[in-house]
Amino acid sequence: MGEKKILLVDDDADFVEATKIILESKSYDVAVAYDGKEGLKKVETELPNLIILDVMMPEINGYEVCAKIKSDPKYGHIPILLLTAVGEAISTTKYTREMGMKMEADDYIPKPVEPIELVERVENLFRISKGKDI
Amino acid sequence: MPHRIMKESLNPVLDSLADGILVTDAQGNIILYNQKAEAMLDIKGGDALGQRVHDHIKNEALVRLINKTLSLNVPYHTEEVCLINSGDTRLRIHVSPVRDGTGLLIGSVTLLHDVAQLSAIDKIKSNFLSMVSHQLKSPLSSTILQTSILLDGIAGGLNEKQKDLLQKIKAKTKGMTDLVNDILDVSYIEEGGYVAQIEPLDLSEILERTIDLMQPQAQDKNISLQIAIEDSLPLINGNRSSIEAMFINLVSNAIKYTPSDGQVTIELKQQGQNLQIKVSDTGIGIENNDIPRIFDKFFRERSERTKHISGTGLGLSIVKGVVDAHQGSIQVESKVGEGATFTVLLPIR
Repeated sequence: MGEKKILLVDDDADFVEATKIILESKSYDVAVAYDGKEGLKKVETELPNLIILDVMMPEINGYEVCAKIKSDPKYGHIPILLLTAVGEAISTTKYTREMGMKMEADDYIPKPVEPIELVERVENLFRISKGKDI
Repeated sequence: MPHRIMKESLNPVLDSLADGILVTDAQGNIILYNQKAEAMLDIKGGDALGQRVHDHIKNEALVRLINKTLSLNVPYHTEEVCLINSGDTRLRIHVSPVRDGTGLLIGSVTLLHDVAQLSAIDKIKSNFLSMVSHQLKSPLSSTILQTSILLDGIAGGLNEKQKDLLQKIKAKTKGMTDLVNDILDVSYIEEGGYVAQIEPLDLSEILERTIDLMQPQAQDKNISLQIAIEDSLPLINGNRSSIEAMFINLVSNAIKYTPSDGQVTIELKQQGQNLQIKVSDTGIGIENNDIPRIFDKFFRERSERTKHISGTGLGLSIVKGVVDAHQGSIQVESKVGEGATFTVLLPIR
């Protein structure tokens, strides 16, 4: 079994770079995209095992990208972790979690992100999806 | 006879004011009002003098506030602040009790201030703030993450001095993120964003979850949270995120301004056609002079008593915005050193 590949989609280059450092420190293989359109393309070319997706992106936002991937029979099984930057106190409550869930994301994490929490969420998603993957 | 001259010129003086003034006696009979109040409240002619307030004033919220001011005989009950909408005018009203030299309640005085024009200016400012805030959020988010990477040792080991400095950078950056988030909340409320998604809400469920979120903050200061939520309350139509923001700000403020080992009491119950949310604390209280301004954006009491308390000055303006968007009212009672009580009424529809 090779390294697990994570596709990271976010329009903020600094955030992408920092998140990449965290994930690579845990020996994940990281592919990046800087907007929704590029993200959708990279899903096909990179075939990631997991996608981390920012909500606030120009043109196609994270919710739309998520819905597109999830409705695709070829890629719909890939777990998606949605990142958003809405107000922290509000966003960590059940309501916005449900908002993310409606788009069929597998988990949701508010910005600003703590490295430890990000890694935990990623590991957790891999644990859950392990049973499903053949 | 200077006193006589004063008396004769009092009416022209009152009529030349830009704000409305309405005075009642202790029984709630109208005893004085100026032309501005007459127009703002649509009072007909001079025949309202000597008549009961509720016979001549159509705005229920105002009548309720006046009656409440007259019926509450608490010494620290100083002023009621509320926004009312009547037609095209948006009025901000302050109702204060009038007392004679011995402290006996002899009536009430209401100041009415038209804030419609201010509202329009506010909206332009909100759009601007929202744009700027979004531009600020991304770099702050990245900076926090980059700092965390360094602090967590992911990019290599650090000595204590470096760690200490980075922790300070992170704390400051987080404070700025809080500020930006609050600004976004305020501008979203003012743009009417929250009104767009209305659903039937169980306030007790939302309040309980808010309290769960706030428990760690209270425990840090050994503050006990006393909670009294009435069973089987009716649902109200509202916006979930904004009601959450309102609860979070009310409760976190109470905790923030209450010294260690104090108490915060949170009540939710039905009160006639309204749901009443009451948050009281045993904290430092609010200066009388400051009460009319506490709902203003960025207003914070700046004194020796509050200098160690951090905050953005936006929490209560968020609360006020949410209350207004739900056609509710908010009242505050406070005395310095003896805590504060915020009472929100939200109509059941």
